[in-house]
Amino acid sequence: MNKTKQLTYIGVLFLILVFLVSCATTGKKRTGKLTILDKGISAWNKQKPEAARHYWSQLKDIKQRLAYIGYIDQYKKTTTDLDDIVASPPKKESKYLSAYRTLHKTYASFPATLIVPKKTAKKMAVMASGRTRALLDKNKIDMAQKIITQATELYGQTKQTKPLLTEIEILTEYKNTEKAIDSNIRKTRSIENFYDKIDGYERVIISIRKDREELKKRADDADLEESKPIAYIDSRLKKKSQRVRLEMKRTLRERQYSFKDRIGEEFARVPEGGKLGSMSLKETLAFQKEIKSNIETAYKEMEAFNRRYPSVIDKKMLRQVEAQKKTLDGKIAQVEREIRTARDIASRGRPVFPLMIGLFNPEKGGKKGNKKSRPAHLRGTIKGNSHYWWGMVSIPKKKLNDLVITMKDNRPIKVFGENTKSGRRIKNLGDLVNRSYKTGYSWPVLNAGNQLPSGKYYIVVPKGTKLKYEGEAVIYSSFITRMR
Amino acid sequence: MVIKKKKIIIIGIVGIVIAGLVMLLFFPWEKAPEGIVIGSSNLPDSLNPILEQNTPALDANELVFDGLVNFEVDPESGKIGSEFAIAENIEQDPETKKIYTATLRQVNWHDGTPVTANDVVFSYKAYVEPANKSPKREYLLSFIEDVKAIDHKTVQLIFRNPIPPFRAYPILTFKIIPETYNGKKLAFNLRSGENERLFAVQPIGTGPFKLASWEIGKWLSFSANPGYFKRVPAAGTLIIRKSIDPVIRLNEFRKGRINLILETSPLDRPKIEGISGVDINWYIPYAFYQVVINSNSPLFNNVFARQALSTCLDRSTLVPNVTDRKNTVLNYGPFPSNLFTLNMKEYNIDPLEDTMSYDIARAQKLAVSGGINEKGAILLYPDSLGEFGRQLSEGLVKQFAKIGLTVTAKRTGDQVFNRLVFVEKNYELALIYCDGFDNLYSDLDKWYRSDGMYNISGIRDHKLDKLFETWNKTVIMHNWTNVTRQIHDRILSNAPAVYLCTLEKDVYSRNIKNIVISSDNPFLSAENWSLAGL
Repeated sequence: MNKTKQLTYIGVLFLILVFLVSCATTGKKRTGKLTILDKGISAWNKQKPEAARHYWSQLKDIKQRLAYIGYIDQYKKTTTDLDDIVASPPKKESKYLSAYRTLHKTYASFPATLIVPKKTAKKMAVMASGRTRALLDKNKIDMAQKIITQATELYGQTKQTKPLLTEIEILTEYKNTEKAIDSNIRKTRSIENFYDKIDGYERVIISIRKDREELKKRADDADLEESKPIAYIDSRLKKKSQRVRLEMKRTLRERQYSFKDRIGEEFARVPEGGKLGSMSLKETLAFQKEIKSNIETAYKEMEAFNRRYPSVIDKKMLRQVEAQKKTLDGKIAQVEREIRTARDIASRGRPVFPLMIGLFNPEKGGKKGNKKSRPAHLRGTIKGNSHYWWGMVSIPKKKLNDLVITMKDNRPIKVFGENTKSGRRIKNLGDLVNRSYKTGYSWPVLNAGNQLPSGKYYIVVPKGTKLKYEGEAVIYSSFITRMR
Repeated sequence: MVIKKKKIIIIGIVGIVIAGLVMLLFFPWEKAPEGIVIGSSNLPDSLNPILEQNTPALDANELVFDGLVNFEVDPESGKIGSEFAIAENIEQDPETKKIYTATLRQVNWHDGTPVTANDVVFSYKAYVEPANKSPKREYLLSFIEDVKAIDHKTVQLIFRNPIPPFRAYPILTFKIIPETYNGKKLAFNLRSGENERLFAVQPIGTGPFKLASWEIGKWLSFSANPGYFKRVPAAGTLIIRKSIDPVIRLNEFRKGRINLILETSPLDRPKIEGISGVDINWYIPYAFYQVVINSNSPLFNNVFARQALSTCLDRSTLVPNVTDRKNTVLNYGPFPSNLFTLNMKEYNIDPLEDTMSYDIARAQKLAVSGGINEKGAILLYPDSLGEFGRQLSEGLVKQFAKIGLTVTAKRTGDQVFNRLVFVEKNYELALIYCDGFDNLYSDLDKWYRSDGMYNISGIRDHKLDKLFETWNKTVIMHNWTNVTRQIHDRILSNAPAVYLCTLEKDVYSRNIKNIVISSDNPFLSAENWSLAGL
């Protein structure tokens, strides 16, 4: 009897204890009556998931019952899988990661009130840290961050997860810095003013250096000096800095090279408006002087530029521009001398512009040996007699170059090597156009250097079906062509 | 018993004879087509213009195919110029002077399908496809960077260098072939694949004539293309008929069975002039006579010996009334002496240096140094050179004797000659007529490269190989003439052959109206030809 009393007493005490404990752990309902669901949750969290089965099997709502019983079964199966994986981890990291994700997906799918038991959580946290490390080593920062953040939330922070979170934080800052740098580079590229642009590049380079120093210090403070992903992302910033420097140098060189083209273009400038073909001798001379002065200005600008950026100057290009200027100065002097022979000039007709053409002043982008000259232009309106034009070529001895005059319509032009005297002596002169090679509206003078020993050419443009005419003269390298 | 056997044998023989007669009567022999007949010692080996071809095939390309631009012969002057063909118009980009835009005509392939821009792109890509080993590959690649279809009928041709139209158009004469053949797209590699191989023997083009039949080893016939963009060719049919022997060929011509002979002997003209209805066209061909020396033969493995052969020749006196004619080009090197004057006369280029001209004293010294004086050698020449071959060989024999070398001239059949010289390379001296070149002798490397298909002298010179490599890629005239000079000098230093002459070539036609032939490309005016009396 005593024994029965004793047992009853112990049983009542146990039930009171259970009641008190459950009241203490179920929050709001602590003061109310515990539901079967709550009892099951309490059993899951305090004992083990399987302990909840007893309660949840009594749930009247079938749907709820099946769901909660299902959690127990899922937990059981997943934890068995987890133990298998811990016992025999997959060799391939991709499989390991996939297995971890499957397990995590299950644990994370349970209602928030069901706490993953400590033992299981620890195993999952260890597994999550390993996968995070592996992902970081592959520089998959975003994926690593996602895994470790979710794992910390579900399984709690551990010794392994803390440094990983710091490492990820630093890496994220690196990434944000990188984005800011990219944005600054884009802004710099869009700056139109050349010198502001160069300043922009320099600012970007300095900011990269500072950011790198700061982030490196943070990594060192967190004992992450040997972190591979930090080293990698830092090297990426370093390379970015190098690329920006190269881009800046290229921009500077292009600027340097642009002087060559600018000078060449200036030499080949054509009078604007309707002045081509109608300029007086005085105006023509003034125009040549203006060209000379503009070339001088461009050259001085280049010198100033060279002084400002001596380290990036391409010495070979500098020598080329110097040689070019010297050549063009010589040609301008030659042209001026020619124009000054006023009495003769008056009978030649209109000067083409540029007055002198040749491969000494090639079109932009021309490669050595296969260039074409910048074109000399002629343009006018014929109401009565033919128009007479003259120009100069500069072709080194024995160089095989062709002069090709291309008109915009089919009027048959003639080219002479001597002054046509506006037609008075024309009958006695030989037309230099090689008519068997005439193609479309193009009129070639083959081996122009040889055919124009005085360096001057004279074009006769006859009346055509239209009043207005236009054409250009270009010097080309001579090419071979095959035929049977 | 014996009688019975005899009877059986007689019956057997009679049976075989009857069976043979029946076969002759009823066998579906292909009847030779009728039309303008061209007698030729050889027939085309393929009709795919992208691949390597023999001379008759190069000629026949002109009948079947067109380029964006075609070479045309001016009937008055005989001068060759270029005219738009598949391209209706071509415009040069006024800024870069490197880009040409071609608008295509509404023309159809011989199978009735329309020509499109993709056909032009395909053709260019096939020419530059390494697997095709096209002889035009390096040339086209050196000039053209890319060919793009802008739309169905517009093509953009991007040149590597700024180039004026009068230079660009001749380059655009490369023949255009269809991208689709027999309903299937052709592969860029035209050497393998059933459809691709079929195209080479049953091609379709846009040219004035369609290939009508091809009786292997006998003839090829071409029928007029009624849709030809210029005009319907006046001659309904052209036949290229094989006739190896020059004497038989001439007899057939005399009897009116052959209307055109392209391969002629410099000695034939007097015999031809008496025949009624004969037209003679003549021109300086891209061809030459040479004596190739086998450097692997013990007698000529010394360069002095080979040089002695060149310097002992007074070329103009080799064949009286022929080699001393006004228009004969006497050659002292691998390139005919008229190379620059013929192609680049406007440029006044200094001629190639003549280091092997007649100098008997020097020749005699070289012969002694080379160890060929008082020795004997055999000079082979083929039947196809005919009477002129005999006279030229005799002239050579006489002049070689002046350096103490006794040469015996031997005439052989062409097949034997080809086997001994080109296959077995078992000869000492071989007199050869070399033709099938273009104006720049671009295929000359085949005779001199270490792995050249016609390198029969046995001399392998890697420095020369490199020079040819550069030469094939060089298109700027100034540079090209410089490399040509280096090649000329290098070959002469090896002395692989004795260079003789280039003779004005006669082409005989009979009863053909409107025929104009002024170059090695005989069919440039073929669409205008017609048989007299028809």
